[in-house]
Amino acid sequence: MRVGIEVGGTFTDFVRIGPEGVRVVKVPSVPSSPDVGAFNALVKSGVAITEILDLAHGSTVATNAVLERKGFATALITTRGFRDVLALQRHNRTRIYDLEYQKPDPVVSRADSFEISERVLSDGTVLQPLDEQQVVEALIPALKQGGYEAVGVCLLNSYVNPAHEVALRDLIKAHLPDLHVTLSSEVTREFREYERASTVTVSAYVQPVIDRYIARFEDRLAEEGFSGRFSVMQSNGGRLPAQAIRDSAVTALLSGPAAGVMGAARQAARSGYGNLITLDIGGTSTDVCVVTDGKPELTNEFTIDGLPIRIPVVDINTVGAGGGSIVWVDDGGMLRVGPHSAGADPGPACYGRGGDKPTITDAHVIRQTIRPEAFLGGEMPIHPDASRAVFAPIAARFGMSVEQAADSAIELANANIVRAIQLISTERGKDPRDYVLVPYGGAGPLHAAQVAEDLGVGTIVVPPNAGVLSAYGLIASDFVQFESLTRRAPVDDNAGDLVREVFESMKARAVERFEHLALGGDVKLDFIADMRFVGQAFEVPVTLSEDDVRQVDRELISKMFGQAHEKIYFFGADSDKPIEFVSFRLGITAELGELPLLQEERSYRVPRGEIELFDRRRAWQGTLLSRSDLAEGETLSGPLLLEDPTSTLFVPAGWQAVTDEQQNLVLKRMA
Amino acid sequence: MTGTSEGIDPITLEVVRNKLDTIAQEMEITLFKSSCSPIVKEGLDASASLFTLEGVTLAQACAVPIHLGTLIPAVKEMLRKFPPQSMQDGDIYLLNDPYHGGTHLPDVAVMMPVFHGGRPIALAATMTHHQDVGGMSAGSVPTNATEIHQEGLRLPVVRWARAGQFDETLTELLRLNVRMPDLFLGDLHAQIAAAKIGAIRLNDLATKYGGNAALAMFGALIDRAEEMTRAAIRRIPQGTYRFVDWLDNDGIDLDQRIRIEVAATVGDGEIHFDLTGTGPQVRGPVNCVPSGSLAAACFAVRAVTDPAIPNNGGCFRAISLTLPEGSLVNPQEPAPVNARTATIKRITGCMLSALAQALPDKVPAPAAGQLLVLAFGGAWEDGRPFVTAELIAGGSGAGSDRDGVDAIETDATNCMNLSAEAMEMEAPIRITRMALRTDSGGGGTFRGGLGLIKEFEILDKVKGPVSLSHRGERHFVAASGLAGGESGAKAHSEIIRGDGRREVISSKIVTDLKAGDRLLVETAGGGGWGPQLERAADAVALDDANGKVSQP
Repeated sequence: MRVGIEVGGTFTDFVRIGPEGVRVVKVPSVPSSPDVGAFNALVKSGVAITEILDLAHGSTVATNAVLERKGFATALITTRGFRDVLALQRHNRTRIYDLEYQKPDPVVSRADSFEISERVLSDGTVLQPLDEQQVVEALIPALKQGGYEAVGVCLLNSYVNPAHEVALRDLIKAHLPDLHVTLSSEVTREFREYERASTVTVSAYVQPVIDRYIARFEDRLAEEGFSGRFSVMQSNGGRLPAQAIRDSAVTALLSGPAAGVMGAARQAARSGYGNLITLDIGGTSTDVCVVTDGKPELTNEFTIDGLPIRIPVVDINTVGAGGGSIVWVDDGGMLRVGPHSAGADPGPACYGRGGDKPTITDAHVIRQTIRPEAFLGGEMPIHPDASRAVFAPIAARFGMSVEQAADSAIELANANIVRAIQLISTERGKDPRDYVLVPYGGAGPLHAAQVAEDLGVGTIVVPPNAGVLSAYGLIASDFVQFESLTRRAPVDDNAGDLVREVFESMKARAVERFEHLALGGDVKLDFIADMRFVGQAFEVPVTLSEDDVRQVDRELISKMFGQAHEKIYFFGADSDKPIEFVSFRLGITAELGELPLLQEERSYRVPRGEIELFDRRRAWQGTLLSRSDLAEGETLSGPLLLEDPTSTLFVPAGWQAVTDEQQNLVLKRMA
Repeated sequence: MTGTSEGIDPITLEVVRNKLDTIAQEMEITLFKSSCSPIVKEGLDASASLFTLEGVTLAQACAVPIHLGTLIPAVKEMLRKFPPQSMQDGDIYLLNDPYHGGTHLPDVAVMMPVFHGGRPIALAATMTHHQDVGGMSAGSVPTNATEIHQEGLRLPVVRWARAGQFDETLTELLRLNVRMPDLFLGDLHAQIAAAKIGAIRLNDLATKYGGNAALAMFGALIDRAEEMTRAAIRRIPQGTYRFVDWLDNDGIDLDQRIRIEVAATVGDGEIHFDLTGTGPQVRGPVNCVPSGSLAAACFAVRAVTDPAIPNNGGCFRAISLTLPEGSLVNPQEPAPVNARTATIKRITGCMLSALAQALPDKVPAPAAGQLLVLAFGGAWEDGRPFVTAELIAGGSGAGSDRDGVDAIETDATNCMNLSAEAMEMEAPIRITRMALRTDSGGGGTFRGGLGLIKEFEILDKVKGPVSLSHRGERHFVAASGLAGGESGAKAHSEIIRGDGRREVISSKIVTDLKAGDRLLVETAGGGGWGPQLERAADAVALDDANGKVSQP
């Protein structure tokens, strides 16, 4: 039996898949100790821990440690002259009109930053050897005195030659064996010292947190007689054995959204859909991701609390539009939605917890696209009168009915979501019309159809138990690890040999690391060259298969780069401008083999019946039914409201719904 | 349902507004990602806009406020010379001359009509700061220019492509007049790609809503932004507020400080900035054509009101300017203008500090407001040329309840620094030190932000001399404190020659460096807020622990 437990900010989601079928549980999270929420879900599910073969876990523990600055005392070591790298940052501000702007607050202060004499140049040559005497006589006593639990090391140009970082770690470990030492060249071997220093600092900072958390989790599992495999989700869309995460904690940051995308990708692939736009609408935000050929796009540009983290992560774009987004009227008399949110507390007015501002969830309640009796499987009381009361002033202002005002708010929320999708697809050079939309999360399935219409997307695929898809994503993910290497070189007649040399050395290292984790055997390799025109400031990723690597030469790589560039920027395919390699990335994957089968949980039932709802500026008669009631192959036309224990799916007029043999609900727009 | 603007449904209007902003953002993304020069990517020194056929801004995406409204005079000039009825689908127009609608020569505007149903319905335009447009020095920002002809290639508005066919003669002319023609053409093509995306998306929008309906909505949206701007200005106490600050010099007459004076008059839903009292135009290149003061005013108003107001031509209607002819802020041809950024920054600072008197809890003490521009050019030992530039910030001013920010971009610009590793990769230069500058923040109940120290060394991998262009500010006039706070430290730079000789830089210089020479720069700190004696004890202790103040 396989179990996925995903601890989010508000809810802990649980999915069990085994011979007895699928079991889904949602319990409130315990923010102070995520593992308590996880074990609560286990207990509620009634699953015997001894029978779990595969337990995959995702939690916000690393993320929260950074957001709340609750990590352990951490120091940074830099090349002499550079201790202020974290304070100086990049000088720019992310909100240009904000006169009260503050820089992101680094997790290590100036007082905890140390310098050491050494210098490597940009070509890797050593200008000044590492001053070992200084390390032993000054640095190590200072580290000891400071009572640090973790140390991040970022020496200048270590991305090209990491020898000094390695030597420094060996020296520190020899004197202070209990100190966690993290090297920038091992976490992200890419140029730009601020981003690398930030990455290694955050990495070092969360290391002891994750280490302790996993140790505690494993102890509890052992007590309960667990003997299966315990793994933890990463932000790159793959998981790792829990032991390995203890050494690379930074990859566990923001793993929850990545798990959702993987769940969507895997479940949609079953029905043959490879090109997806995933749409996860939660209480305060919406996450959008582009999946091409079954694989989520990855990015290296990612920040947490404004601090850059340069590791490959699933490229998820988040916008402040969710169920709690507040509806308001601006000075120009225009109706607006968000970015302010009522959050989980007090939450929407209909929660009855003192929320007095109209929100998107209230709008659904008024439109009757959320039925109060069905909210969270009927486990949470909802107050429709409160929703109507907060929307009344807006309705009066625009001379509309309350239903029309609520419907307008939904239309605008959808416009915000459409915008997010258009921007992310433009940035990636993709046309949304070539994709199907895969909605999940509490509210994704409620908004999907209108969003799809505006994007020109004609097909929507809704996975079973869409409200807990992230938990499924945990057990549906492969084991994955990435490495990167900056190696700037011109694309000349040696290009083929250079690519092969880099590939072989990175491959050897990756395979060795994987074997060390007992993940050897059949592995898949993804190899990406980040390239650009000489002088260009941004790189374009060029993906090479193992076949490509074998036969690559100057002509082939130039052609591949030209095509990749053209796709994003509309020029470059026939350019004869000089090209260069900047860096390389290699991903190693141990595939899961057989995917666990996600199905609809059948315990939830509502009687099929007629309902009235409001959508797109008018009232409609529609059909209400529980999702598991729709037989395979049965086709129904909207308006439909389909409920399952984790979410509500709205199928508007003009769309048809049919459940396919994989239990995905496929919505098609009628011509 | 009662539409509030000639029967146009307000919900559809808001959806269309959202779409226009999205289009401008898509254009900007395309521009940033496909440009070649670091100044665009790391400096974000580019912007994208949509205009009506009357030349009114419809939507604008700009990461750097100095670009606010920057294309307005360029589009006006294009429409004057090439009226819409003369345009064909696929036309591309260029312009960079400051005296004919441009800003300074490195900023080249690329403009194209957006066609729908066989007729032009709007204009898509982009502006990029190019790495080099020729002239007397590499990088085209010569500190010692005394007339615009030295600053580079001047383009009045010209039609580069007719119905998609490029004028190859013009292309050859462009290539021949710049130092790095491939880079220049690459960035121009990035601008075209961005404008094309705008044209495609706007055509889609017109198809969805109908061409005439779209045009009606454009007008309504501009009116809304005007209403919102006026409503926001009504929240500022009415009155006239004044502020005076100084630029160091113009790079030519090094002992002559340059006065900038602003009188901001807040009326009923309108605001007027009078720059009378500002010094006359100068010989050096810090003169600033009127579009610069407009960008400064737009920034100041957005910053003290509501940045969420849709960024279109309606916002500009509530703002007016008086810019005396022949002065620094309205120079006459052929005054050089390449270094106008420093002037716009100081104008913005003056406008904000004037408004600080009306909004004391909103506007902080003056910032260093300097963006040190360093450009190095020369050849590697194997003869390959290199050019690299870097922009370096100082500290920001303290507010009524907070310290200033260390080493941060402020006001009208928002550039990233160049990472040491990136510079070492690009050029035979080593960075030996990059640190916060202790004691540089102005003292106060709340301390001004610190400037920074950076040291460069020319490696022996060069062939011949390395040209250095250093364009500083705040070397002679510090950022003042507010409400009893102290001034921030002034900036300081010096060259340390290989033989140990030290040459202090008087704010601006163009000179040569040799292998072994070092350049030390120290940027200015921000002004403090309130009396220093009232600074909280724990804040004093923290400054001590973090070494931000040497003698607390």
